[in-house]
Amino acid sequence: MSAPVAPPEGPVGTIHDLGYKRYAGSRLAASTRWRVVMRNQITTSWKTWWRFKSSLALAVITTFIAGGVMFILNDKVVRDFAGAAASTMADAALPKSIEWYTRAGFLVSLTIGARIVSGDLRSGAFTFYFARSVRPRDYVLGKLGGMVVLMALISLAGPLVLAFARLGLSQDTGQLLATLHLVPKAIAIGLLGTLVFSTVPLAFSSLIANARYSMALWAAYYLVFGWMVSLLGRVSKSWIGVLDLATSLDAIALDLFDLRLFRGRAGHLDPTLALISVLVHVGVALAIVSFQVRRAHGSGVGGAS
Amino acid sequence: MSDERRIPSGLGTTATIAGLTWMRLVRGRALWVGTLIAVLPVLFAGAMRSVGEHTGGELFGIEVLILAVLAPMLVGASIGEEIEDRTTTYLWSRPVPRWAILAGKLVTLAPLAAVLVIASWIAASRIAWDSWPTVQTCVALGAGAITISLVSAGIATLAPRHGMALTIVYMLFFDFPLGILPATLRELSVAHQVRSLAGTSPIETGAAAAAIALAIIAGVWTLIAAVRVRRLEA
Amino acid sequence: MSAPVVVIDHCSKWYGHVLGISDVSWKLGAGIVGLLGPNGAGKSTLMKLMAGLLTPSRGSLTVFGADPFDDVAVRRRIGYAPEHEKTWDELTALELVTVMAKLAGVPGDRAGKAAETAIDAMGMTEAMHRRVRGFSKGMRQRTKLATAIAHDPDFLLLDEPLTGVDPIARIDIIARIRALADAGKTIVVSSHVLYEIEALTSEIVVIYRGQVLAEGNVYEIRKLIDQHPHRIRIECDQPRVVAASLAMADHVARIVFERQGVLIETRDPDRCYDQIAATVIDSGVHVSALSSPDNNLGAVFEYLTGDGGRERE
Repeated sequence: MSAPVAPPEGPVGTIHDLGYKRYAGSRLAASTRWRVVMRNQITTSWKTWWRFKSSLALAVITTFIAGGVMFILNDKVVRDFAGAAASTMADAALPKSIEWYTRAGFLVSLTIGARIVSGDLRSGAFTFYFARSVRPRDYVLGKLGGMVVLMALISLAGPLVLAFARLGLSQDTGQLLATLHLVPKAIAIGLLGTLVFSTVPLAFSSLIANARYSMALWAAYYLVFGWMVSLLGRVSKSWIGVLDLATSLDAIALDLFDLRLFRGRAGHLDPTLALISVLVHVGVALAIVSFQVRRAHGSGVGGAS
Repeated sequence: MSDERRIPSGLGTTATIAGLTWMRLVRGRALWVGTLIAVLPVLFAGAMRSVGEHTGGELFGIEVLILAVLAPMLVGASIGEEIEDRTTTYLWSRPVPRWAILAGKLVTLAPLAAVLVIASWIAASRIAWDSWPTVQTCVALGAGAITISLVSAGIATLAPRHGMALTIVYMLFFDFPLGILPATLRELSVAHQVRSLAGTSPIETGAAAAAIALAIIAGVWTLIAAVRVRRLEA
Repeated sequence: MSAPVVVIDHCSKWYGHVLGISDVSWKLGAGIVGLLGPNGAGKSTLMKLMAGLLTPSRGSLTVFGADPFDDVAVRRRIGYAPEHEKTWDELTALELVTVMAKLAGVPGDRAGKAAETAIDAMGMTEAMHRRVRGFSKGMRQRTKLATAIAHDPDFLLLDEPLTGVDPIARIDIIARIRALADAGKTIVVSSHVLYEIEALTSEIVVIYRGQVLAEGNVYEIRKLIDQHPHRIRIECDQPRVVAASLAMADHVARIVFERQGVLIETRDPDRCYDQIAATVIDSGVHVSALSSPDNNLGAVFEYLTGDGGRERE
């Protein structure tokens, strides 16, 4: 007995309603909004050529040069002018390169970081953000997260690559194990640089609703005020020199990697106090940004003028 | 053409734009921010004095650094803001030569930068040394302010939206390092010429030569600005 | 016949790879002309070219016989009110218009008076001593218009002049613009709001994808659009009688019965109206309303741009 044959299917047709339908699917939790803000910050900053990519190029060039010095002048010993302290070029290249990553980081902080909040205030982007379910903390977290990612590419990636390069130059397992400490130290100094250049210019950008003035204030604080307090600290032999962010980062790097040579202005700074200064800067900056954004949100500003 | 339908002259336009720029300066925040920046060396001099130390050439170096921020903030930002806000459509659709619009801004902003930095230098010197600074150093700072303002104007017409930031970057990463090179290239540096004109440079070039060099640098960037602004489109 | 105010000859403008306008040829005479087009069609580009803010990438554009970009003198006769509302917010309305008048050539001692007159013409007298920063959108629009007319130009370019203006103010400004045209000024107004253009003028230029799609009187343009027969709606007590009388006419493309009447689609509206009148008289049909739903600017605009701007006979 043969199996029953299924009746052939008749022609079928469907008409779809192409009109607007309200989205009825699942929605992400409000706590994920900051990721959208962060991704937007990264994307818009990445698109800029000379504002971000050129600084990234500077960091890449620094990495190549420092790496080249490490490789080519590996065992060459350098001494200070008194002939006392010594180091190999391979050991000196990484801590001395921090100074250049700091310069690249400052460039990005000036051209992007110092105009984030002020640019949003002036353009009316606040209205777009806060007309949706974005809370002030989502905005701050998102902008900060975006800057951290961008800065990490400059301040953290480079030193980490150099640290691994230094490990790669080890001649035996013993030397490899002996230099393993470079990796966490590179991460530490990279993170510090990332945090400084992400948070402090962001705070300046929230203080004044004009991107150019906030940039000028940040440049004046970092360059002029920094140089001033550095000089003051040196002559008065006081702690005030740690308020210079560039020199503080340099001092921390040189101390972390135990480099006694060519310390320059950083040689006069107590690394512990420098670290405290950096962390206090970051903390105060975060507090300022949070306060300013909450205030702007509460007062309903942000309409395009 | 009747008197009511005449074309404004270049000088008249410059004067009108200068008046407009000044009005906006006074009512805006640029003056406050500029003054705040200019006060920094004064605070430094006071702090050094309070710890019983005397400043040397560092104070003058800080004033030169101030110029690298102040002049671009005033000039570069002013030009960039007009283009970004598109208020240039009002100016460029008027029957006025474009160089006069640029000149009007410069005659207000460049001297203002000079006045701020000279005032800062005088106040800081008085606090640091209880004496007036020399006329030569004041002239050097004033000339430096004017030159950097013109550099900023030139850069702002080349890259209107980022004139200020680019000028600061140019000064920090090109001009200042160039100025300490032990080579003839340092003559291209505004910072070096200012120090030479003031007589504080370790590499003596002579005040007259420095003044001429500043004039040439200023002239080149002014030419760039004048040529570029003619062809910019709104 | 007076010389055209604007002569555009095979003019194209592109921004890098983005096309602004493409091979536009057009002559503008006196009166008010409405410049219409979807977003990104090239209206503002054309306005800026005429105002001397842009140079053509190809072709030529002259205003009063001169290149407005290079010729400083011809800009004395042009008044331009841009689309954006950003101005110098630190100034009062009077200060702003006075400065603009001075820059347009009005002598310094008379610029203030000219500014006051322009501000008064735009109904901003009460607010003229207030800073622009505190102005509403409508007030900014009026101030902008005042800056455009303060120096008594012969040619006005008004880019979206009624954006953000409240309905009552809109009527007022439209009346003032018409008054300016009656005073002999040539005015080009661009707008997205079609009924505003309709209130101002029946002479239009339609721009689509950077090209001039149509120009001239809106009703004459309508007649040229064969792909969309004219629609005539007749509300009456005997729609089938009217329909029967028209059904055999060769110019009738379609007849649709509606709740209170009948909708006729015809390729020859004039003949259709004649036939309707004859039927009404002969049959004693009582007509309560007679209208042409698509004999207006909105329909013309929709037909022209909705069909993708295909070339018509």
